[in-house]
Amino acid sequence: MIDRYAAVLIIGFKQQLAYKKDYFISLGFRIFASFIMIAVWTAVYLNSSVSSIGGLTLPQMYIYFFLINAIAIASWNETVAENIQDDIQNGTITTALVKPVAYTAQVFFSSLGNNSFAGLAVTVPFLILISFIGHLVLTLQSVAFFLMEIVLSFIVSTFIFFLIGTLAIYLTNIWGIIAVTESLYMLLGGGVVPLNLLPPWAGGIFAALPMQLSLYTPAATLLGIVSTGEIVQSLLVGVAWAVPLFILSVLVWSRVRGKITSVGG
Amino acid sequence: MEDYAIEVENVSKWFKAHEVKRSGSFVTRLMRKTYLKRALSDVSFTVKAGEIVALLGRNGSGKSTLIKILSGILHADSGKVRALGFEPWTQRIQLAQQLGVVLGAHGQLFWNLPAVDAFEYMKGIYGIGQKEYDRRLKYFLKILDLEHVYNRQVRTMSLGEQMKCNFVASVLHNPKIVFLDEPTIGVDLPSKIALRKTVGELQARYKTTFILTTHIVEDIGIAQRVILLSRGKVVFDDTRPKLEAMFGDKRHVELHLTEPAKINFGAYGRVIGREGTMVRLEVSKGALKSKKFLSLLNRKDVLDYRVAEPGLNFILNKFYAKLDREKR
Repeated sequence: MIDRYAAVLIIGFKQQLAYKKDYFISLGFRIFASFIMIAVWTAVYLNSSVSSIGGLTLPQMYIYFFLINAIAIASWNETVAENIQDDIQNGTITTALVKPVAYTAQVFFSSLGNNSFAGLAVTVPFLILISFIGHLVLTLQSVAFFLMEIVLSFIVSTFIFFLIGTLAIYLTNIWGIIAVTESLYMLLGGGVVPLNLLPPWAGGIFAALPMQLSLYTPAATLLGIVSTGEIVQSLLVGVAWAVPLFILSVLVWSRVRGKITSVGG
Repeated sequence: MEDYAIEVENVSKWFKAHEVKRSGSFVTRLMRKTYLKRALSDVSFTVKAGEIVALLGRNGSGKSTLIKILSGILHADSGKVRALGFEPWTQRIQLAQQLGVVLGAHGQLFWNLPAVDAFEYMKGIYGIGQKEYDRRLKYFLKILDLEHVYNRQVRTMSLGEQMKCNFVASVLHNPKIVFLDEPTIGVDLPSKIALRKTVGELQARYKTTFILTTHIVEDIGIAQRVILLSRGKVVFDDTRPKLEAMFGDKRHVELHLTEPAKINFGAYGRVIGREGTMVRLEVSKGALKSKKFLSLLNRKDVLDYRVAEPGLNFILNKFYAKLDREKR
């Protein structure tokens, strides 16, 4: 069984390898994109009388947004939803359904292959570049926590985008929903404002959501601005989301399966 | 007990369809009528292990729906289906392990990757051992002339090369049943022959069962049996020679004349073709030797003639026409 999942993972990885040029461009683009938020926050710091906001100095804030852009490409994968829409609406799902592997597993492991490649091609080189600037707390523990956060974020987001993808059975176009979900990921995950700057009541709500695992928590882990307790809590929140989302995905898929009749005759 | 690969018993399948009135207004389009369209009705047949069956029918006759039900992609609304003892749609994964499905030109391949990556993928997914994989791959690459092609990116391949690689990807795991949907479209003549030969060899060597849908008459030649679907119903299920014999009392006579003829050919048989000084007649076998017909052949303005049995193309066309007449 494991061999089968490994085969799906490897082909997902290989498919991304065919787009290696795109990833090279993507790395450049993400470094560039970091400067947009950096420009905004520089203006905030220069017009403020304090030297640290939410425990972050201006150079730390720079690093924070570099980290956000390095992490985002590996910690979630919205193409899961796009691919399912494609499969359902263009009938390519038939090819997946004649394979001796559950469709949910095919989607999950192929996406894992995609993101592993993205992580190696973009996140790792970007992180190495950032480490030269400094301000990172790179211990065995922080790196281990960082990896666990990214993996857990990937799992949770894959099921979220899987469920969005299944909506393609009922809706012709789910691009809007995908785009909104991505924006929510950026906003609720700390891609615009570091989450420790939120007022306590909002921070409590955001901490209960899985998005912080995708950006804020891993970035803050490497910056050393969160306690081990907070990291563990954030991981537990992730697990608490992952389990029901997994069960829901399997249940929803078993219902949706019967409805796939649009595959042509 | 017979060793059946496939058992289909009284299977029916409906689809929800929408009907929009022609030149209907915006409002009538919003209130389009939903109705149930019957794609298969009361279909029953069995296929023995190791049989090659051609599943024929015009567009929209229900062939693809039937194949999708047999492979577990769709479920039947009523009736019983067993493929290798499994109910396809509830035991899809167990069945898929022993199933090969050739759909379209590159269904099993990855557009941006070389075909060999798809082969490796199949090896992993179906758990094919390394030795077995090497042996089978070598065999297929040689017989289908793909040795210089298989490590090229799929998108740089010709349609025929894609079809052949797609076929290989679908049969590498030595499936017990293979569904071939239009397997020779765009394939050059030598490869077509090689594909048909491979199907025959797999059947002989491994007792592989093949269900083949095609509109290419030469492909039907590899099938021992023909099942004909028309509007979701089985209208013919017998051996290929039986189908050929259905209109077997007819002969085609091609007459070559000295000049575009003024002869009333209708008196001798049914005119089925006319090109310049050539006339093609359909004549019953018995009438060929009649004095009247011989006198036609002996006419001075008839330069030459040729008599042939009607091909499968003609027979199928005739069959479809007969079904159309019955419909009216």
